[in-house]
Amino acid sequence: MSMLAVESLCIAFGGIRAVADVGFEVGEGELCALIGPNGAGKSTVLNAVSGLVRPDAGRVLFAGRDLTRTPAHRIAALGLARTFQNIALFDHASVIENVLVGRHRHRRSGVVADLLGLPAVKRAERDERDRARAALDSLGLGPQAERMVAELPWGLRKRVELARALASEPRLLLLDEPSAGLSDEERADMATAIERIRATGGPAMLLVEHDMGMVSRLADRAIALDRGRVIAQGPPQAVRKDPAVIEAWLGG
Amino acid sequence: MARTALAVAAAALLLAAPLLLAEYSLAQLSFICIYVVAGAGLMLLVGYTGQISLGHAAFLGVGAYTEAIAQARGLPFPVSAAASGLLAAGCGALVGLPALRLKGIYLAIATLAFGFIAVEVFARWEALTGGNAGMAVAPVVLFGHRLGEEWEFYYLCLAVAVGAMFALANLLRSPTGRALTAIRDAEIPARSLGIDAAHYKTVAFALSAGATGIAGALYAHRIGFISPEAFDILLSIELLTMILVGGLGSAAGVVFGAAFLIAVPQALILARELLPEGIARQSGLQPALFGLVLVLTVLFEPEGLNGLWLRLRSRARRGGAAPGRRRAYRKSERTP
Repeated sequence: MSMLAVESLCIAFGGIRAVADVGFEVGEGELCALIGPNGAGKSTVLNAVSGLVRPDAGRVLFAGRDLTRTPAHRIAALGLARTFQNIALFDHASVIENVLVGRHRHRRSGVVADLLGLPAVKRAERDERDRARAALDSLGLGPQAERMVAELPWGLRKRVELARALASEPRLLLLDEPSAGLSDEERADMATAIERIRATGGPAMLLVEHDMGMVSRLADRAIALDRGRVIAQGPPQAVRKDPAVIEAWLGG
Repeated sequence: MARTALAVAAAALLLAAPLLLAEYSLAQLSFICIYVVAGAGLMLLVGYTGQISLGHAAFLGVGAYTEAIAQARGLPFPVSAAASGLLAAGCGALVGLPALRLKGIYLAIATLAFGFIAVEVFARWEALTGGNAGMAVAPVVLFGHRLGEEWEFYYLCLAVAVGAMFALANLLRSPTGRALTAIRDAEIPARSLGIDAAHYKTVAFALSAGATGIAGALYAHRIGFISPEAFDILLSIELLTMILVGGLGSAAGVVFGAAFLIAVPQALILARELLPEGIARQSGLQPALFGLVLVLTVLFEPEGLNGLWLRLRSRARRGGAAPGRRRAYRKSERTP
């Protein structure tokens, strides 16, 4: 069974068809890359999958379950995590607090218990901190745990966001341009981090990426979009050489 | 260690206050405690969840009237105060409904409307509230003992205020608190991490109103006589001023703000003797001063008295400017 199945997805904003009849699948443990020129509809597809944009037609199936009309927070609770193109961290919190928010779907206490500060809440909190720390350590962010997010450089913030998504222990992880705004060295680090996540039995991943080097290195499969349509899919090397893809890239 | 010493000293002073202060000053200290309770509630909503309320005086009113009516019917204080909190929390959850769709100024207007409606209900429901003639409120009777002395009532207020601050601190360290600040800082990412924003906003409104309702119960006893106009928009604005001046997004700011709110009128009384008669007799000095301080706070010290305090403290310690201290929340930095 595929982890994610997108079926004939259509999304229009006003008169503009951002996504038209897009369909693809991501298998269990697979890493797929969505590629395409700016405005191809890649981020819109991610937003539809994570429930932030309501599609006009088509379906999104997550582990066989139809999530097309499910609100974002419930989709997340089922085990889907994501990052954002422009980093969406909670700036007034420390690194570890950000990662702890990623653990939200595993919370056990209720509001009243939290208010009273019951011993069970404190125990759970210690437990959660340990897990958040483990997520940070796995990405080499341990020393930054107590720093405020706003103080960190872009490259580190990008990694904090990844740690936050991982901390939720997702079954499917959506990464919206993990290498955007990174230096060559940071890109290589990010690629290594993603490889390590896969090597340690991480979730299936769908990533939007412009850097073809990164796509070739990481992805099992690439799905090329242009003007809201799938123009090619298959192994990254093959997709890269596909005439339709080359034409779209060169602005034919 | 300095921190512990400071806390112990503060606790000792608060406990010894009845020995040190005259009755009038002690009454003002009770007021501060009551405002701390309401402020903890409002801070949770505005400072930590990023929602606004211009109707919090109404929750104070709901609490005050519930307490007065329940006491008159012979209910014991723990029961009537709990009822005040619960009823206000219920109203808060209802008022929170528009917050699921409205933001910023629109939410402010919706809560403002609620404030006007509540005052109208207090005035018109004469059978229960005594209408515009108001209601006298007898002193608290706790476990058969009448808290007739100022110091007795002060200890009650202090205990409730300490409880409210502990509850706020607990909440902020918990998953619920993190969910609220996540919604404040960036709502869409919060939702995509599994946080049900609608649910948590409602929770924030209910908890905030509940705390303010309990403050209202004490407030009714403190002022001894309640009438609808005591809970009008001016009081709502005072409550907002309190947490803004105290420092949005800081628990300590609640205490600073409450102290400020009580100290200003006292300072004005003293100042009146020194000012030229033409100015001293003007009405509206107090709102004008609140307004001025509010503007100055927003312009020069957006982190409020708490920010000022942190800066002075670190300067005293290091003999230099404050380095990367924890930044409080600023409205202007909100992610749209």
